Amino acid sequence: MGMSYPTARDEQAAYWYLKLQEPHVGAEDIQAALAWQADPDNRAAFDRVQNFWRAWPDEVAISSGTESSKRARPHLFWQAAAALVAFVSLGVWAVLSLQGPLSEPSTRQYAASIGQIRTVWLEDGTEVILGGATSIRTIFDDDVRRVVMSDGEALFSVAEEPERPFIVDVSNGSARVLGTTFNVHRGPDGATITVLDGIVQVDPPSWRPGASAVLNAGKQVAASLDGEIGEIREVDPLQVASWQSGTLVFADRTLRSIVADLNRYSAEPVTLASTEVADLRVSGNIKLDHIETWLQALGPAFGIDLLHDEHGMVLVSRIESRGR
Amino acid sequence: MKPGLSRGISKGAATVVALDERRAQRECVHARLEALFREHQASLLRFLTIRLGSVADARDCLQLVFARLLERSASLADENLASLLYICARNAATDELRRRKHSEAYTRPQDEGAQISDQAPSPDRQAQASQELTLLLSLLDELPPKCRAAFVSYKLEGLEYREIAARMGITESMVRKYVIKAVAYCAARFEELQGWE
Repeated sequence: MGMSYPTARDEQAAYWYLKLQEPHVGAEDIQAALAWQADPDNRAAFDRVQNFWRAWPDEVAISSGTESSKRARPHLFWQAAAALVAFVSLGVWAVLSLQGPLSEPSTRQYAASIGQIRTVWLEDGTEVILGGATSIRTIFDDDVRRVVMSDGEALFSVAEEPERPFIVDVSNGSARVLGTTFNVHRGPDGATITVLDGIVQVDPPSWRPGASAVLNAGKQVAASLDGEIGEIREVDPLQVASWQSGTLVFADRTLRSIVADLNRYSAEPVTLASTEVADLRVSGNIKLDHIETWLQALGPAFGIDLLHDEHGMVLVSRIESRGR
Repeated sequence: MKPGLSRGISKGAATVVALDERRAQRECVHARLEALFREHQASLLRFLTIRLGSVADARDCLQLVFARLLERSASLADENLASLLYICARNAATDELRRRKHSEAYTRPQDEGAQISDQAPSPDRQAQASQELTLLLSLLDELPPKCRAAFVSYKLEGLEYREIAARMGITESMVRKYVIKAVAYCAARFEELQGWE
């Protein structure tokens, strides 16, 4: 893909154009789409999208007619090709990544603030959805695309470039990929890498030699703070990535690590009164716009009270709170 | 005055008051609707033109929406009228598109038989169309594979985001993003390449 576009305006134009075509588009979206076009530059971008969309003749549609199925064939070829690339490339990067960088790397920083979920496009076309209070730094050169992530959560959809591996460095390990989609979560207990699509290799940090783990879709692995890579687990990848649509899903996690995540979204910080509370293991789904409700609901189930002090919300075990 | 008559008058008066109230209420909604039509007319027309691809069809559709809403005005007292206007326009456009699809399917054999008529595209126009299609298809080759797959499934296969997500094993919102990215990129490239011709 070219370097100069699509611009953010082109993408907004495409977003609004597609939105307006949806059978169930809401009144608010219609009005917002029209308001957006009031700007002449936006309108020009919108017309460009419309022009492209309408240029397609109806009969290209794949499901109708003989002529169209002939034209549709390249599509099947592309899908097959994409699948092949994902397999073949696994062998390639192992060799290539031994080479050192030859050119001046380019470095950029991307960040989402507390409570924000933000999509960014890296210079190679990779899409990254950043969870709340997450920042990443990219260091790209001719040989390798490296992303450093020290905290938070991000969902990567990596642009395929067989000659240039994509590595996410989480300091207690690194995930190495080619053209794939995967989620990286970095919390107080370590890092968790989940693969939604494609293949990812998780390597231990250089200071702790050990075996790597190779993950395909639906697999997850955790790397502890001291760099130890755990067992490969089978997970529901859509559940792992559900934070991007505003729901955090936890299965048997400590409150310490859950609260660390919540604090990346909660307007009011949450603290834990004691290690006893912090070590409690909980499962559940939390809607990010109803964090307080979820915390309150811990009361009856776990004997925990939610108190408010001048710093924010505090979770206190009921025995403790009686003493307060 | 006979007692019966006086009773009759007062009853009649009460009925008149009730009728007046109802009429006033209806006229009030009517007036609000008309004011809203005037305020949103240009936006609604623009929206319908985008959906239907023709200003003339958009006008017809809008006319229909106004007429239907005015008919229903008595039952519309407490609703969010501006939103309703857009939703009705949207639904009318969906109906119109559906109607077109059916009538196309119905008239197609006839069209093919009538190719010799002046409605048939000229050879020049046909050549231009096929050139354009080649250009469009070649643009897709410039896209990253997933982006391309999502776009092809959505635009050419006519699948819904949900179906594509299941097929590609990614989330619906990722599919949307791929399609948006594909459209944004291709639209800009399409304009650029057309400009060169």
